[in-house]
Amino acid sequence: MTDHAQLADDVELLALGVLGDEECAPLRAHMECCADCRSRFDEARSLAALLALSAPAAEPSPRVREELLEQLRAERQPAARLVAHAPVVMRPRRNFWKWANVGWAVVTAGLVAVLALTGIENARITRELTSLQMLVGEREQELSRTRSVLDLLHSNGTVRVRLMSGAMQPLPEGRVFFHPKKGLLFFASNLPPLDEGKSYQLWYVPSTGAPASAGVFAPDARGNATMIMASAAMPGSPKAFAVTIEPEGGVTAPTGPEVLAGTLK
Amino acid sequence: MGRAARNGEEQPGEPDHALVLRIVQRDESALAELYDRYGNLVYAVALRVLRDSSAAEEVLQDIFHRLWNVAARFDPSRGSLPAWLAVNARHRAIDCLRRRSAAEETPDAEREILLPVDLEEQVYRGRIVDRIRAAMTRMPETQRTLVELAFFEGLTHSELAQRTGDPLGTIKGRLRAAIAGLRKELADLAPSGARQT
Repeated sequence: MTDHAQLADDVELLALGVLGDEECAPLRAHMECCADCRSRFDEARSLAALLALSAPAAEPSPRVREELLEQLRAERQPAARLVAHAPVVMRPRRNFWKWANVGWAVVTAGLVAVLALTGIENARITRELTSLQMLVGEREQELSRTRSVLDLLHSNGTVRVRLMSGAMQPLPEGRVFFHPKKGLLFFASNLPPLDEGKSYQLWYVPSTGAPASAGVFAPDARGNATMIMASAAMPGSPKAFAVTIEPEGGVTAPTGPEVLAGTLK
Repeated sequence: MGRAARNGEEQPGEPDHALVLRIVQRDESALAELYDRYGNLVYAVALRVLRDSSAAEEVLQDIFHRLWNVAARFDPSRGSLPAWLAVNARHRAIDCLRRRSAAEETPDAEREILLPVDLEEQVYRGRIVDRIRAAMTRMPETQRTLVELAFFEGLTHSELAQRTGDPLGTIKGRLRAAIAGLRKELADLAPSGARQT
């Protein structure tokens, strides 16, 4: 089975938003260069969007609409308009106290207008800031994930190891992309279902020394599994990778049957 | 595209993409028109997620305020506005539910969603709603529960496994089956082979 087949199975789950970050990264990287998976993702996402319509009908308070439009209007109006609309009534000035009252009214109205404007302006700035932060964060996350996976896949120092099984049918198969500084990407397919209380465990086998755990995983219903590690500090240089069945949660040294194994060529 | 007036009579109305263009030109009445068309949809999605009317109203304002600010980047020829609004309402509401900051939203929220153009009108008239609800009703309960937890509560498959006590493989299998069932039921609505770049 190819990487495409392994990843394509999870495209619909990505569209539904149920995959964890570590599973999203290789899928997104794959979709960057696979039109078929991108198309499947968009179609599944359209279906998922329709689910929104199953929400029970509800109607917001009319106040929400008024507040929204008022806020938009306020964002576009200069301060002068608010001041101009302040409720100041000019009357014939007969004595000092009348003058004083009018003066205080103007000052008060001005302050009220300034306070109202400041509040509205603050709300607008906060919203715009939130929108901008949202966009920047989204772009940075997407870019960072895609870059790290592509970087790992295309680095000169990345070793590529194909993991095979001895005799099982259908034939389990796996692939490891490993770079000592850039991390590890692992895909597998046709993995047999696990008994209760068991996990699959990926092992990094160094050229000298004992194997080190490279992660514990469980396959999906179709026997596919993916793991990605942003950093994978491992001892020495790799000689081989292997997958064994171990007690749930993994162990410190391999004890169970070997399902997949592959050595560097 | 015809639009149903508030009194129920049919009368011509501006299509969504024309209203989006007017928003780009800072026409508040265009935003008000779109609010009248889809405000209830956005609010219903937010309320279903948050189960709190005042929090849902905040999300409703946020989403339309965002539309006001990002309208220039929305390409109606590549995406359906009601779908974009609904998906963004769902994302924003789940963020509120999980007390995540807006900057931590998933990148998918921003992408446009392609649906048949006439869906806009069907959404507006509520015709499509019955079909979606019927499709959900016909879905096996185990699948429906998972889909609702995933879509309206934003649970990941690991969280679904923890919540239901079912193995991860079973969760994934049921979700895939649910999507396959929806695809079959709504084959005429979700465009197969829809591509966006």
